[in-house]
Amino acid sequence: MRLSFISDCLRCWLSLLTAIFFFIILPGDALAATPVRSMADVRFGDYQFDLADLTDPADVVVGQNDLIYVTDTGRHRIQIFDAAGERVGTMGRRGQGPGEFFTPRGIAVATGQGVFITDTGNHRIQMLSTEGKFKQQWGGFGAGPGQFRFPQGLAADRDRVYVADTGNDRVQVFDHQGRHLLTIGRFGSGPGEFKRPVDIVPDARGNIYVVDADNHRIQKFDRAGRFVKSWGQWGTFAGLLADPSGIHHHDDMIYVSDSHNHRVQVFDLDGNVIYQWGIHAFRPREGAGRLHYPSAVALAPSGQFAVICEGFENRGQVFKPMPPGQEPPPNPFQGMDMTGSSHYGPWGDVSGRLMALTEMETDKVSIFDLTHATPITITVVGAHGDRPGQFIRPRGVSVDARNKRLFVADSGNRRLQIFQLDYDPSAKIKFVPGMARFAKLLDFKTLRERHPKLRNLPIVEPSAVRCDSKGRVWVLDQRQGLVLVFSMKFELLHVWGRGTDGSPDSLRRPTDLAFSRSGETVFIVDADQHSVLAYTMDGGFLFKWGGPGRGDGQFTEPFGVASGKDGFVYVTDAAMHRVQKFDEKGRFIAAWGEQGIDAGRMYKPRAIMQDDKLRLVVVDYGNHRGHVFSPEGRFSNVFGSRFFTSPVRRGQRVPQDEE
Amino acid sequence: MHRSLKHPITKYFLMMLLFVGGCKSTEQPEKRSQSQVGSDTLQTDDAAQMEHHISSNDKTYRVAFTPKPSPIPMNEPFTLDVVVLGEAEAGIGKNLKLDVDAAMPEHQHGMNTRPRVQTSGDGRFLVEGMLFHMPGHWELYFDITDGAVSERAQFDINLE
Repeated sequence: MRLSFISDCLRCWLSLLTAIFFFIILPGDALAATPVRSMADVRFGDYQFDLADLTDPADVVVGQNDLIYVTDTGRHRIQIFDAAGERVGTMGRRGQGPGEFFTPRGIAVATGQGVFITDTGNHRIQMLSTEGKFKQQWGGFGAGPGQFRFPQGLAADRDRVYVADTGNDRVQVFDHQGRHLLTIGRFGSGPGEFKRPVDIVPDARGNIYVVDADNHRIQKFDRAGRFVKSWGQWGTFAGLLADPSGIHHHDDMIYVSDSHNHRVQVFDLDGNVIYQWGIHAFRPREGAGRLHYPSAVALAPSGQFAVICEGFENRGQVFKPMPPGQEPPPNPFQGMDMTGSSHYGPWGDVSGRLMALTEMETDKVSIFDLTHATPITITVVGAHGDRPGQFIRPRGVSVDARNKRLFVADSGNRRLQIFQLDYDPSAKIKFVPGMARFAKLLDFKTLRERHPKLRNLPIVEPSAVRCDSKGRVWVLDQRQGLVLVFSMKFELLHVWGRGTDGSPDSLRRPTDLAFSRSGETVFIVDADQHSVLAYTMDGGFLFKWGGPGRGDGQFTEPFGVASGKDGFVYVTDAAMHRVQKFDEKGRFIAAWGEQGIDAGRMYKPRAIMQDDKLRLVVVDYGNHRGHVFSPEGRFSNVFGSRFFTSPVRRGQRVPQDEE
Repeated sequence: MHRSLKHPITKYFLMMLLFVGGCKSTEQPEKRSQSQVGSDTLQTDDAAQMEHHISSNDKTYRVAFTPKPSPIPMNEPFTLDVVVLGEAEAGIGKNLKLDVDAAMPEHQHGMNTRPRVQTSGDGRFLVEGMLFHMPGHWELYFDITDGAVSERAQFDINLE
């Protein structure tokens, strides 16, 4: 009886203390009020709210006092939010000086030290106080120890800073003063090698985990940089990855933003899947817990909430753990074959009656016939992989209807591939499987080892590709800022750009190119200079136009360019969701387009092409479809999968064939 | 193993196999002068003995090959004797590398085996470990690499 009385009293006191702890001691806002369970039992997935007013956010970290730091990459600054989503500050601005940034893409907080930021476009690491005061920097463009080429993700622990040196296909480790300690890896797909490492995180024991994006895997190293293991390969099912983009460690669990699977996967330290959360957004700009190409994930140190950044959607989303015992809702789209889902772009090309568009989710290229008002798919080329005829992250395409050839910039494999098209223009238009036969490829890794002009440059990562009227093949490497010109036999004729002794007017991020009607000038879009640059065909700089801004003739994020048919130059601006028309001297003529899903409206348009009938085809990249316009900007048609085109077609007469 | 082609009995056996029939070549062997295919007469003779002759898809090479056994059996291992010749007068590079693979494009899969390629360094190759595990349309790929450039010769087979 006495024991029972004491036991009852103890239980009462314990209940009272528990109540005091949860309702009085813990902070009062909504996120912090949730009782903390063991993290092994926690399942995130309960959507709370958005972090708004971001432009292409690439990374996120949550520091002390639950402050959320986001790299607002498109606006070259860091934004700071509190746990309720209120913006409480910003750090930095566009520039090259101390405390200034150019496309910062990685961020980490070291307790009691400050904030480390990868200043990607300036190829350096900067350290700021948590109040935003500049403290130190190190790095610079190059491949030596302590130098970087477009570093992206980074992480910090009590004594080290870990950097994904993306452009050099390696990771580097430093102490907090920026002294170089370790370099791990080189380009490749073997153990300890990388293809585009984009993020990195240490665990509590100092093991290092790297997101090896183009190998679609996570690699684990010990504190000394020795390879331990890797997991993941391209696919949609649990444990597989598709273009993973970010990584976070919390309480012996590894959180990976699995970008093209539109989810976050959670692993233990050996790579075993614990759970996943995220459902593919279906409607344009759909959020509220639905994900669309998540770029980064981070948890609060307390484990009470998680933040996911989605650069594609210009937003962040905050999640709480699911109620105890509940799992995140399953993703109904897992395992779905995305072939034909019209995730076009970013690049494309038109020649004669043929149009080629890359497909970002399937790693394939679609070929269309342009005879009728609506482009008709006549074959699909390639598949995901590293064998000849397969692609990893295909980017630019160029189609040569006269010679029945297709060129594909196989970016992830660092190759240029050529296919022979068994195409008969007089035959009835129909889908023909196997119309494209792989013919040959150029491997840039081997070319760099053997060619004196490339030996001191990084391995070329081809982005855009075009054939000129003389049969020469032009290749852009947007990350390295290079232009390469090849003969049809793949002899390197010319290279210019960053790190070469070519044109003094260096390119920063060339995204697309097109030739003038006379064939004597090449127009190259440089997104980082917000300009179109005109060169002679042997690389002599002529003039440029544009500049940053939202006005007529200015660019915010130019991407695609078309010219050569009617004497005008058409340029897409992804950030302004519009097309601008110029003459070949760069004089502004007209602009059209705005953000939206209705007829003629776009979201982050990329490639633009003009066919022989002078119609303009625009890849409406963010809406997963294509638009057809007249040269004056009059909307003519839309194409793609029914789901993405129905907002335009609904209540609107489908254009009749022109023939 | 390719050297066994020189043996008269092996040649006779091969000719008998050809006579019996099987997978038929889609292209007839072209009559070419020795000067067109380089200076290696022995290699040209070897090629002439082969069952199938194809050009690479960008016309840089000619590939001649004979499967063993022929016709190619279903779900049983087979080998390939392969000779690669330069289509142009310049002949072929000494450091030529050959990779062989096969796929069923309609089924979106390849072989379940990984072929092994041995070379004597003069454009002659022996490919082991081939296996077509089901009937239907197969594409046989010869990927020839010289430096940074790889080029494919492709042969279609209907396996019954």
